Amino acid sequence: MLKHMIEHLDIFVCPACGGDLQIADDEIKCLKCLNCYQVEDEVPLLFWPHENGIVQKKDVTNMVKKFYEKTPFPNYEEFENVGGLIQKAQTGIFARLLNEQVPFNIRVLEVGCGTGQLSNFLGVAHRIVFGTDMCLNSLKLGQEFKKRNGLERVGFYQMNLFRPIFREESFPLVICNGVLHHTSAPFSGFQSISRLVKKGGYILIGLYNRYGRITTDIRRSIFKISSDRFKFLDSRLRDKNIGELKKLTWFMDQYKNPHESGHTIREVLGWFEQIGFDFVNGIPKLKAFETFSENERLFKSNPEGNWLDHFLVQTHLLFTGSKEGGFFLMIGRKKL
Amino acid sequence: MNILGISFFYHDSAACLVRDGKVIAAAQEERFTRKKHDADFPINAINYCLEEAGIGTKDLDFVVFYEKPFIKFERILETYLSYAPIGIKSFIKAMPIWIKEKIWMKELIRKELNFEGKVIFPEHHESHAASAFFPSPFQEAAFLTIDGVGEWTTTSFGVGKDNKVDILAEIHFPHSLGLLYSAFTYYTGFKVNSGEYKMMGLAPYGKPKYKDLILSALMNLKEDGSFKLNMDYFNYCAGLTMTNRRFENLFGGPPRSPGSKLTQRDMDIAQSIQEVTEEVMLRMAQHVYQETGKKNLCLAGGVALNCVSNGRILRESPFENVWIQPAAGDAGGALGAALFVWYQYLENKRISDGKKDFQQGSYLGPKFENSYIKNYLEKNKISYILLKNEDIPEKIADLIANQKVIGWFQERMEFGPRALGNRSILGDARSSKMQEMMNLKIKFRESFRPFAPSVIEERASDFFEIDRKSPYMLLVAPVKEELRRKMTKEEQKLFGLDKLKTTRSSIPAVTHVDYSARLQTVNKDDNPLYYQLIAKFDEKYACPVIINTSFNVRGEPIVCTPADAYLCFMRTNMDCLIMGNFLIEKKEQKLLDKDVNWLKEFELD
Ligand SMILES: C[S@@+](CC[C@H](N)C(=O)[O-])C[C@H]1O[C@@H](n2cnc3c(N)ncnc32)[C@H](O)[C@@H]1O
Repeated sequence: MLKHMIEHLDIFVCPACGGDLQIADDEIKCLKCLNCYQVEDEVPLLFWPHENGIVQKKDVTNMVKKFYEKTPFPNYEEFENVGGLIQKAQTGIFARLLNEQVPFNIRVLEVGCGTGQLSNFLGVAHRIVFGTDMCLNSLKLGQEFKKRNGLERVGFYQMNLFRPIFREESFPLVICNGVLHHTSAPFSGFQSISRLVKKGGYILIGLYNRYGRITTDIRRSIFKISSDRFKFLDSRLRDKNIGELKKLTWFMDQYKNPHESGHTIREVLGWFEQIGFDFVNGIPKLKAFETFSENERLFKSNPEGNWLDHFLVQTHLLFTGSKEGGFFLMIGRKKL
Repeated sequence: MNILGISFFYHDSAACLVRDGKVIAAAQEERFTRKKHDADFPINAINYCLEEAGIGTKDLDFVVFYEKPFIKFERILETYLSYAPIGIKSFIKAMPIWIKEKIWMKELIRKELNFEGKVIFPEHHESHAASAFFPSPFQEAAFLTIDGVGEWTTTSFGVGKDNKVDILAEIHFPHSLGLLYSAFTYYTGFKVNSGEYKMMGLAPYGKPKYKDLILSALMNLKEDGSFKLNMDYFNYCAGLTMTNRRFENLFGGPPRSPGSKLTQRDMDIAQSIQEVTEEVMLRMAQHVYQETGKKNLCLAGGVALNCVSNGRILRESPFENVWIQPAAGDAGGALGAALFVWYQYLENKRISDGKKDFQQGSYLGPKFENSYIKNYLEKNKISYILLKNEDIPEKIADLIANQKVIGWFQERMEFGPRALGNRSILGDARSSKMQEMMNLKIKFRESFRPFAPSVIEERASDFFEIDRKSPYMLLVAPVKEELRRKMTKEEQKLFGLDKLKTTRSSIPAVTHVDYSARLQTVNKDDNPLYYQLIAKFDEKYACPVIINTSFNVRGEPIVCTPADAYLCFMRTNMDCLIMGNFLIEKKEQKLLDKDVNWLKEFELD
């Protein structure tokens, strides 16, 4: 039990006070504030509420948490073994490139890993992966897959990204894809997790794009007034090759999410600048008319582009991006 | 005299260099480009062959392409036109490459290689026949080549004698056993041209329920093994899929969609087509025997990789000896073509002793010296233990006995689709969990796929019902009666993939559900180090059998270089990797804290 955590206990801290943790009899205890944390299905419950224990009515963290506990994302529906996971990951170029280019023998943190597919995938190769999310039901699915397939280098932990459970500068790579826009304060969320990146290490942030999201927003309004009768407007929901559960998960995540925000390239470049990260790469590329190649070097430095580039790139997202939910991804490197 | 044989543009492009009748080097292009079944012009394989021979293209006397491009072009044209207009879609899809590249083959080869000399084109089945007979240990033999489709011919047989192969008869497209098999591969949801092996592996889980249906409705099989397919049920002349609606109606449903669960019906279908294939091959062998009166038989062509049928030919046909070309698919055509020129075209003498073949264990690919490996490891800061030559067998034998899974990278790479102990993943055959474990955690593939045993030659008949060598893993033989475990009443009731959970013999990891094994016998002289390893394992742990599976993961070609091997090792749950004298252990891999190079890590050496 808790083998993964015990092996890496040196980087864990108490989410409440930042003190050192101790593991005894499958219970986790803070040596400083003496808080105790339970473990469920081998997932340490290290979630600490955002607003310091005071439950407010409109606490976004709580709302989003409730939502994802009901609809874990994404689901494992179609496959049950690593072969299937690899096959799925290889269909998207991003996961494949990550797997090919993230070095072996390093610790990788995924924040908001949902059901942990990316974490599990990256942990098939020889890397130590920490999959964290606040939604326990999602984590349990990831944990179950991990266990069934003997992916011993992957560990799942319940964590609130505003209340990290790791020491600062513990990871050469932190991945946070599709998460921050579901929080009340994306920038301070970014700040919080960026502290966990080692100097010279990388952060990878995936966010909804304000412009790329417009089509989805329009569809959502139509669904709302039509009581979801116009679902066919979303190409994924029309696709006969996609299973029902998967469709439902997609529908809920895209259209029924209790909270989401949209962001721009400029804005994230600003975040990088403010916190001491250099821009490295983006999907889509930040220079207009440059395309992301099949063998793209993810961690090689690229030009930031100017406002015109960003305008063109984001306009392009407006027309093409909605299939993927209007996403954009940025990779930054922490200054040495 | 240097002869370069090449095959490309269909599947598995390859190159082979023959000097004065001896095969100096042979390799498939996929190993270098890392694209499975790469069919492009095999420039990397050619360069490797030239390098191994220490020559340049100007030193080549002949370049041989393994088939006549014009005949093939005509076949395509005629077939499509006779099925017009429905064939037009696949015609258009296939057309551009044919027009652009295939008919201008000679110019293309000259240009690519900057070669002024003679380019020769034997026929497809001549190349295959040559690949079956010339490397064989026989001075005289019948040969039978069966494969998908090359020009008009798909099956041929004849006689090889001294330095000549002589084709006596042919069965023509579209009446092809290879394509029939592929049609079922497609129908059971596997990939045509690469999933054939999976279907064969699935067969023993099923019952031959559809065998009679196939024989009565789909084909007209004659006593001599020749047959006509009922083309009403197939689509491969006209379409891009293999089977049509009528076929689906006959077998009660659409093809299985690739990722979906395997059902008992799929297994029954697999077993049915397997038995039909065996039936056809046996009848053919019988017929070839009658026609030629030879006691030796050589096999080649894609279907000859069906080792279950091969085993039955060996046991049930009148032939005394059977030799099978290990690179039986199109890749082997490159080797056959080169030998064809040396013997048949140039009429050079060929003398064999009836025992030892000329395939050299099929270890015909690149070798990496210890100095090269060391340099790679140090450049990439990979920690290792250096073993002395004489310590390798014992150290690795101990690790295997401790249930470790070993990546084994030694000497020259194999030519052909099987790993024969130089680019192999090894494990303990005595373990009942190994098959499932290695499939799911290392090969990332379906748990039903069986593993093959390597057994030292002298001990093979103690474990398997076989009285001869099987150096290329192309024969299936039953595990000895006394080593089998009787199924309990409960276990007998299991069916389908649940059978996998039963322990079937004292070497369960390599015993298929029907108690068969696709074995490789290892010879002291052909592969001394590998032999010593298994002998040591036998000495210490009383078992001369280990698991040998190819060093790759699902969907990727077998590894070629130390870099390929290391990447594959780090991306799977293998425990140890031995390359030359260097042992690398997973548990010794330390967390990198500094000096992580994000840009260089995956540059190939
Ligand atoms: C759309 S899912 C993304 C899942 C996964 N990263 C992916 O790309 O498929 C968003 C996830 O963020 C998690 N999340 C949202 N706010 C969080 C917070 N404050 N702390 C930790 N996780 C959070 C949710 O629980 C949910 O699993």
